[in-house]
Amino acid sequence: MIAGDAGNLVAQMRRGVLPYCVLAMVRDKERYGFELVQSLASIDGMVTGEGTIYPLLARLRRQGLVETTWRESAAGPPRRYYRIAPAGREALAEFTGSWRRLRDSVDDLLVSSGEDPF
Amino acid sequence: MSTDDDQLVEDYLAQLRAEALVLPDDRRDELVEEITAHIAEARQSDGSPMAVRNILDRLGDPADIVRSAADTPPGSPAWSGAPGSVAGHPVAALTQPSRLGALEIAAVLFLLLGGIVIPFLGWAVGVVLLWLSPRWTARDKLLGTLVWPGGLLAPALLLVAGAAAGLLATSSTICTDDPVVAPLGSAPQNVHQAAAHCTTSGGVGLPPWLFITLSLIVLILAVAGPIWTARRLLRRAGESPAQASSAPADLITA
Repeated sequence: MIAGDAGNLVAQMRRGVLPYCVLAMVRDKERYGFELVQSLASIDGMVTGEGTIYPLLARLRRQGLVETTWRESAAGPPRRYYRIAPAGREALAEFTGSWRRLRDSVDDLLVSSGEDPF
Repeated sequence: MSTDDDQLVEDYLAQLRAEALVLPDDRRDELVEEITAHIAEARQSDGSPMAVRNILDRLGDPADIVRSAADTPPGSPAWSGAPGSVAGHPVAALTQPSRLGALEIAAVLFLLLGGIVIPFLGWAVGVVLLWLSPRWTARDKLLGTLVWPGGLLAPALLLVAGAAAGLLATSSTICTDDPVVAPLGSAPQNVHQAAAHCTTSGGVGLPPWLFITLSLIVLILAVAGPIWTARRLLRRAGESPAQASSAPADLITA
């Protein structure tokens, strides 16, 4: 493996887990788009362009993983609120299991071989 | 100041709309609506003079937003090139969206058949759609444009022209002294009669078997060319991007 690829790999992994992070954020309470984008953007390195979250939200909705509701806001136009759908809950549970297994395995490997990195 | 800000926002949204032309209408409208709402929300929550430029910077390049709205965002393999091992899984539904959109199917149909329905113009519509789609490489697009321009119009014309030429040849050069036969537009039984009269006398210069064989080869090539290209385009639009880049997706969904 070429060392320079690590940065790119991490970027790709972040993009790969982003949909599941969104699902996790709307698992327990519904949130509107701007609110979701702000929260995601505040996580270091999670999002490069905030605008790309909206296509992701639209895709999750088309795939039936989230449900949306329009609600009036106190000031300004109505907001589209997102909440996890049953299929999204299932996908998120599936991913959570895979993620934990992978994370633990990688951690074990990194720690045991970390004693003698060269 | 506020006017300048409004202008910045207007320019940004105009650029987004232009980039989003590659998306289906409903998805384009929705995307522009969401981004417009985002900007409005962000401007309300922070009224300082730098805010608008900052908001737009953070949103990112409209081209990037549209790229991620198309089903093939480059460099996000989890959405496009997931391995088949998780097929039928909820995770698979999340990671393997259909990449063959209405635009691609319409492009191939117009390329193949458009020329027959509306000569030339129908095929030209296919070419425009082909070049609009983000799912084909420049090489695919060039191939789709150059291999058999007109699609199946050419073989269809060849077939008609061949039949007409055959009729004319047999009726005019070989059966000139047969008064019953008119070259074209004649009643079917007369044509049959002409054919019956003339089968033994041979073709124009070429032996009939050679003429028929050559015509068949040209016809088969002219039909197979567009169909092969169409199949290739559909396959290329449906397949995952560079396999190498799907490695992280393997890791995550394994």
